[in-house]
Amino acid sequence: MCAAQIIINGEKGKRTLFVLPAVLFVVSLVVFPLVFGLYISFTDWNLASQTGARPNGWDNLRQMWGDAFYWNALRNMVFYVLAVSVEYVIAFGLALLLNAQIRARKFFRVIFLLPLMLSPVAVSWMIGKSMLEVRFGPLARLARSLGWDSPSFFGSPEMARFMIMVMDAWTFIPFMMIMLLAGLQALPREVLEAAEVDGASGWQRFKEVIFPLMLPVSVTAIIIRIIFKLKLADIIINVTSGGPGGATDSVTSFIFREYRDRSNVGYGTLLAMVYLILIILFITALLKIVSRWMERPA
Amino acid sequence: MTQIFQNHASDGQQKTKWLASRIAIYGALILWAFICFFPIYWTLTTSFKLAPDVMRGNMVPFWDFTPKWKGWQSLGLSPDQLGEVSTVREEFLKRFWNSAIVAVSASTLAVILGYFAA
Repeated sequence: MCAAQIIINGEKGKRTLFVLPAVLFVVSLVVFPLVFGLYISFTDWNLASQTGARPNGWDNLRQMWGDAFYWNALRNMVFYVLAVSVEYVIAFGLALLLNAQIRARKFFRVIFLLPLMLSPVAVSWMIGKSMLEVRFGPLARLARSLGWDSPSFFGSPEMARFMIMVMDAWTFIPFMMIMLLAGLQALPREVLEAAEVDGASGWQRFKEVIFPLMLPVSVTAIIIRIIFKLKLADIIINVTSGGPGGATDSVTSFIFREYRDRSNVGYGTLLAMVYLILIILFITALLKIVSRWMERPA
Repeated sequence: MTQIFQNHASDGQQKTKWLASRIAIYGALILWAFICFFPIYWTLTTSFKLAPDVMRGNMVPFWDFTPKWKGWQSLGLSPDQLGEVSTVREEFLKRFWNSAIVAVSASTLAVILGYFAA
């Protein structure tokens, strides 16, 4: 068949042939699961039921509409995504520090990149389960010596959410930092020198030259980070599994528990599909806004 | 670069300013390096602690606790066990092998498919 393709269609046939493996791969691993997922999201498939998947019309959607925990998880995602702005500021600061004239730059760069090399599961055990342990963890001891008598990091909803954000930030700030650092090192040197010769102060140089020149890199870093953030699940599953009362739940971890604890495949898939649509809408809107904002007359 | 800075700092005021900025930069660097490194240090030292050491919150090996291979022994990874056959260790190392296989094969597959499609 392959040879026939080339003989019949010539150069064009050859081109089709080379694309074929990738197309087959994408169709079997992306398109088919998507279509199949769409089908089972409108069934009542529960792994525990004996009947298997039975289409049940709009029931799942109606259930989602009334599911307070799903909306709660979506609201939590807003907090988590907003935390990216703080991470960005810290990461930019660190990138500037690493870009300054310092000794032992390589040493600091390696140390700063360490958190990124650990898997989030390891991070959640190292920090969430070990260091934030209420009785013996070093951070609990520190909190006690600072006057917080009975520290509990995952007791109150706000505190728990904050701690999840901190752990996630700890893991992924290096990622943003390294992107911004690459951007800083690619800045045209002449412009910076010109600014210095013109007598711009450090703050002016940052505000008028470095920051505007870094905008494209910043936007890329932030958007990739937001996409990472929308997938945030492993730390939450391992440390709080959504508690207390769903306050730390991300949508992904909620869907995961829908599968694992309630083996509710049909409903869980519907939630995942809705989340996918929301993400696509959100990211598209974000990209539109950002590109319009960057093309605005200065 | 430092020399250029020192030439600029001809009067004392500018020199103190330069010194202050240096201290701030290195202070921030060391602070963040500590934040990045401490959890890893904590995990590593805890792996050599016995339960009472963990509960007392001891932190510096040889100073406030004596490192013990107890934790590593349960994985068959302590030095005195390395010569022996250990099923636990094999089970444990198998996970590393699995990760390696997945990582290598996934990236190879991605490269091959992407190469043809590009």
